[in-house]
Amino acid sequence: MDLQQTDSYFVVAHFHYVLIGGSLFGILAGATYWWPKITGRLLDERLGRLGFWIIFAGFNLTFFPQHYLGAIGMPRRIYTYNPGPGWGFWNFWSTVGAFAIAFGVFLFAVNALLSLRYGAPAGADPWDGRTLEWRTSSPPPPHDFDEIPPVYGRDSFWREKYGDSQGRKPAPRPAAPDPHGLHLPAPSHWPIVVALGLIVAAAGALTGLVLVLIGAAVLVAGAFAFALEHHRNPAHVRQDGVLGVDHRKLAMWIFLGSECFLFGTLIATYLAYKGRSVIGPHPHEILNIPITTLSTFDLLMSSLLMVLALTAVQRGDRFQSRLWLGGTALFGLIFLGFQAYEFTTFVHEGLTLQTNLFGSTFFVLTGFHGGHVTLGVLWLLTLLVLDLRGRLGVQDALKVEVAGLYWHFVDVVWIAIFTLVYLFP
Amino acid sequence: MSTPSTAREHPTTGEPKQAHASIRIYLIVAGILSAVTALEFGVIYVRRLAPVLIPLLLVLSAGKFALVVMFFMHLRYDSRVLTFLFVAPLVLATLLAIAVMTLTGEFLVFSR
Repeated sequence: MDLQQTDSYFVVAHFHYVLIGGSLFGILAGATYWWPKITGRLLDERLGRLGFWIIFAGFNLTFFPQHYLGAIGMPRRIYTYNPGPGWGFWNFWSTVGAFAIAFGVFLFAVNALLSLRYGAPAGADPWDGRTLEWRTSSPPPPHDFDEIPPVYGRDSFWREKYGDSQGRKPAPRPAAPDPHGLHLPAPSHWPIVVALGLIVAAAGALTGLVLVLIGAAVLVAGAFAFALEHHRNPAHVRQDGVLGVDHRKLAMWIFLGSECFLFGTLIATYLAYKGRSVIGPHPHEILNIPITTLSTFDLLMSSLLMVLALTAVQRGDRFQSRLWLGGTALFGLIFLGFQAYEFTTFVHEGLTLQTNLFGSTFFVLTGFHGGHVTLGVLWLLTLLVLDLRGRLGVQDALKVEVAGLYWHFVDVVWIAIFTLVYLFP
Repeated sequence: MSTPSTAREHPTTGEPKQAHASIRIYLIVAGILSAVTALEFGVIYVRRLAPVLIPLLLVLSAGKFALVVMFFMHLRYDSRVLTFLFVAPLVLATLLAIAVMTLTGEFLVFSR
């Protein structure tokens, strides 16, 4: 009995009743319901009903006999069997049912494709709907609504059309004057390139380093091009929010707040495992404090160049802004060079990510920091390219300021790492 | 060198005076940062300072941290909201780090 319940075709029948009945029918129903909203065209009603009944019949024909098959002893997860047990008859009808499901789904797909060309126009609200999506045109404009729709409660749109249980309709609200106008992010193809790079890099993580590098290069190139495109949008010149601070600056500070937690946990992990490595190399045998003091000095000075670049942009001094932006990026690259030297030396001396607790926590912490520096260098180079193209004027100073906040944060994190990892005895 | 370059109205946003530090102050801060870094490097080799080395290093690096945040990141001159948004998570993260080290029995900061 236990075997029949847990490892027989009865189980297959049972959970497919749940999966197909609960999910696939729901997905098809949802697709049918919102298809007109997505495309602006109605599906053919007769074809839709036909498809539904074929899938419904096929679904029951496929899976109902499997209950019986399980009960007469057919185990799950087998692909063939001898004729002896007599499972053939109901498996045949089960297969017929499966083909019926496939045909029904095929009908749905045909219906969907045909509707794009021959479907009747759906209009905004073909189902006399209750929810807000039916209040805008089909297909909706990219920004969904020209103005934020009023919400009168649950089933707001219904209430707007027919009133409450006593038939009282809400008083129409006067259109709110929108001082900002309606501005949308400019459309761009580059995010899809960035996503592609990410996919390739992720595939590389499973297969080999070459793909990771190719993916990373595509990702960085896409991000770079995205940053340089649609550089100046008049609607984005001033973006003060309720706190009286520009949104971009506020967002950066909130991000930096979250970064405190990231680096806080990494540093805490390093310190918690300090002195607990069973085998060497240990920190005092391998850390090169004089060299790291130099790289720390380099990063601190890059912060000075960063503020000089900001003041140069703010007063419109093109020569100095280019000089200091380039200088900051260069100092960042020098820091990365120090780090590459340090990492290769350590690997040479037998310390890798897998060697011991020190190696794991050290490389994760300083590697994450190095990743942040790399991102900062790319950001600075983007600004430098904008500046060289004459597109980094006085009115763009905030962009440099926000980039600077990130850069200085990377610097202060290193101040903490330098002391806690390198100088602490 | 010492022009208070940013202490004037923002050209497009017309924001009232955003009194950032002057270049002279930036240079002074950079000088202090360099000197303190050199000092940090030096004190680890002074044997007589060994008993107070950890608190001393913590104070020095906290000072550098504060200088960069206050002057280079302009938090000293900017909205208090931003200070709160940064300092609150910083304090929480520090407490979290101390808690982790205490729980794992390696409370390095004060135990040695």
